[in-house]
Amino acid sequence: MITKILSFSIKTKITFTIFLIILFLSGGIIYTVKNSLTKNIKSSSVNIVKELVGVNETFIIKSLLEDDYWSIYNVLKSLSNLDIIKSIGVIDDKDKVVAHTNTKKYHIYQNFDLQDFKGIKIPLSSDNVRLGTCVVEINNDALGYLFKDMDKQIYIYIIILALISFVLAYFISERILKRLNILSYNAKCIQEGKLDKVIQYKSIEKDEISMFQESMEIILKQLNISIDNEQKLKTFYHEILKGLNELIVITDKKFSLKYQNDHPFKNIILKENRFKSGILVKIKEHISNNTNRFVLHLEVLGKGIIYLYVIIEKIGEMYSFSFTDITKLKNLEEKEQLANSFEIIGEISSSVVHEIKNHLQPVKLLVEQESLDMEDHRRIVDIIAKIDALVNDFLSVGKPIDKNLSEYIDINLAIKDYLFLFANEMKSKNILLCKEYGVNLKVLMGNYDYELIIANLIKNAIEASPKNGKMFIKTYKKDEYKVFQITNEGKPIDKDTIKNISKPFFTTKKRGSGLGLYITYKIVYLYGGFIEVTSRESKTSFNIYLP
Amino acid sequence: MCFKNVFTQNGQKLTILFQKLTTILFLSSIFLFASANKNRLVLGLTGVVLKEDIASIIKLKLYLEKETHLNIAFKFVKSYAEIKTLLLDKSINFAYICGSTYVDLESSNEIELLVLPTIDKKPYYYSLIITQKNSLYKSLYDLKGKVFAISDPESNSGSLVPQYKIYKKGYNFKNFFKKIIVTYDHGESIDAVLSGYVEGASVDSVVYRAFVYKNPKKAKRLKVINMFGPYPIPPFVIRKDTSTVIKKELINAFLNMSKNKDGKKILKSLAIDSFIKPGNISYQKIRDIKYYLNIKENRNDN
Repeated sequence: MITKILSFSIKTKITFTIFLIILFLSGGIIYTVKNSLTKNIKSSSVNIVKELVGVNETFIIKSLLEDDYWSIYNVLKSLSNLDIIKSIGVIDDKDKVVAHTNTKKYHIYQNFDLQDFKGIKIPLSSDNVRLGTCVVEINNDALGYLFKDMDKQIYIYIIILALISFVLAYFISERILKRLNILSYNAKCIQEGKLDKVIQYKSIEKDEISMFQESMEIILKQLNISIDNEQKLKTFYHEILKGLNELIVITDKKFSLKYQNDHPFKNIILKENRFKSGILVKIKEHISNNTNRFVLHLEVLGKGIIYLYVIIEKIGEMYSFSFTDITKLKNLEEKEQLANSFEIIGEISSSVVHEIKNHLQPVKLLVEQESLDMEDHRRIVDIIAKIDALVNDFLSVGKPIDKNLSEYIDINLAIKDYLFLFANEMKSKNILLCKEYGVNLKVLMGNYDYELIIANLIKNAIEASPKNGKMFIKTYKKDEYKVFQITNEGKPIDKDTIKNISKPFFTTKKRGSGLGLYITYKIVYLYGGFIEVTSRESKTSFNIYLP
Repeated sequence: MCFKNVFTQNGQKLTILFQKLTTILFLSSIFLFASANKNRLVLGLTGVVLKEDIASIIKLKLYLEKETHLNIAFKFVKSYAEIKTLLLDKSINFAYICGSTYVDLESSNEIELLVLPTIDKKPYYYSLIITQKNSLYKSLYDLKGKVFAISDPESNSGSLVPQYKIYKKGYNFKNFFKKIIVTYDHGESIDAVLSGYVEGASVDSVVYRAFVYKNPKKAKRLKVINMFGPYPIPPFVIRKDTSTVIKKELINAFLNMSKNKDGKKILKSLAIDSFIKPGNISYQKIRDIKYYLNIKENRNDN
């Protein structure tokens, strides 16, 4: 029931509440007035009856004395025609009924118990002699008769009050609802961002709704200012983003386009508010591999291959993508690499030639001898072996990396394989190996290239380690890089050496070609990684960062 | 001089003329007054008619005035004793009275019968004993010790007949009923029964018939437990000293009532069929009752 009432409209609720209040108030007032009047009329009616009997007293007494009971009865009958009198009778001085209008109950000469009688008793006396008593029962319903006209008026008043209350309630609820509707409409406009459609309403009322309305207007003004500021800020950022060389793309987690700045590559990367399918595949691939930085090369008609450096950032439930055109940089790098290559080739060539010449000098002296003993022979073979190793390293330097054969390699597995291969060397030097492998560390590169890096670094570390020294191997992830760290104990490397360590033919070893670390650096660099070398006290660490 | 004489002569003539005119006017006014007074008749009515039927009585008055060209006034008289006095002292010229009243006035030799009403073509009526329909009383004698209404103590049907019957049955009327209520009117006696104030009443059958005609619903609450009679009907009587012309006019008017439309209506409302000449009707039956009751009363008084 209460739920049903609560589900009514505000207009209905207000209308009925006011109606009921007015109805109960008016009903209460009418009841009180009627009650008060009833009491007064009761006492008045007793007086009226006494006066009526008083008027007829002389005639009744005369008839009583003349034994004319029929005349008495007729008088009583006439009086009982008044609604106020329920019944009326005359009792003689011996308390016997003379006449009574209630003929069913009271008969002539019947004894009448005056003491028990609850009605009005009016003595009939002449010359101070009591001749009888007039007994009257008041008709309580007669009061209703007296109120008959008043009842009609009451109903009319109630109907008028009800109508007034309805009109009043309707007017009040209409005023309230009109303002509430405006508030509701304004709130909807604000929600939908249609601030220009918000209605300004000045009400004559000064109630809670008006106060709320005024507050809303203030909030609206502040909101307008904020939105204006935000718009300006947005424009400001847009201008900044427009001025950027990068293409900035913002998508939701389903890669649906939310924002992109104006950039010439927009049409190359995007199509109908989404990434082009091929690009999206690559993006998803990198995201699943947790690589948020990568180079994307695309073949564009009329432009050839373009290189884009992509940075992916996850911001809450959104992705932001930054595409930087590094085609020119790549081209410059290639040119520089080529120049460097020529320089290196020149340097290497002169070094190799110089080395080979250095080796060949003693061979020449030995060969110019008339006879060669075994020692000479052994020395010549040794020198030729050195020249052969030199040439092999040189060939390795020249060998390009093969990205086309790239595959995802678990870096821990390759490390474990090479540690097994170098087990004898470590055993002969009694090196204590400490390992700490990270999990799920995979790099995309050629298997041979990776093995070459690992083999070079493990070999160098074993060679640099003193007898009974310790060697530490650790793999872990740092940012978007997978890191292979190898540390050995031993004499620390000075700063100058660290500076030149990546240069070809730079070696501190008696029998090294000086190309091992150079090849390592070259492979790591070509796969987009880098190498950090630290040497403190008695520990030297090589940290290989691979994307 | 000449002019003076002329004026004197003319003045005398005018004085004589004025005196003659005054005399004529005086005599004619006396004549008119005398003739008006002569034609004015007073009709006396008692409880033998239903007083509530005042409209019918006025119609009867108007009818008689129209038919006789007389100026008729009517006077209701409470008791039969009073109407006797009024008839004898000439306050009333003619009256509709009970048979017992006529019997009382017969000896005065100042009253004579004018016309008689008829019921079922006969100038007789009955004394009816009535009670409420749901009562258990079956005869007058069952009402012993009850409250009983009579009309006038001198009414034949309303008082004398029940007295006579009770005496005849061997009871003493004086203490037969617990209380006798005198209503002085047959109609009121009927009302007394209907109201329950009395258990029974004795009424004139002509009045009862008129009451039934006028109040059929109320009449259904009543029953007649005894019908005594027939008795000679209450007559219209007239003072003997009334002029023969007027008597004739009145008789003709009464006799012609059943022959014209207006008269029929009045008769119907009075529950009377017609009026007839008295003929040789005898009121001996009532006279005998009165005689009998006188003897009984004298005995009781002694």
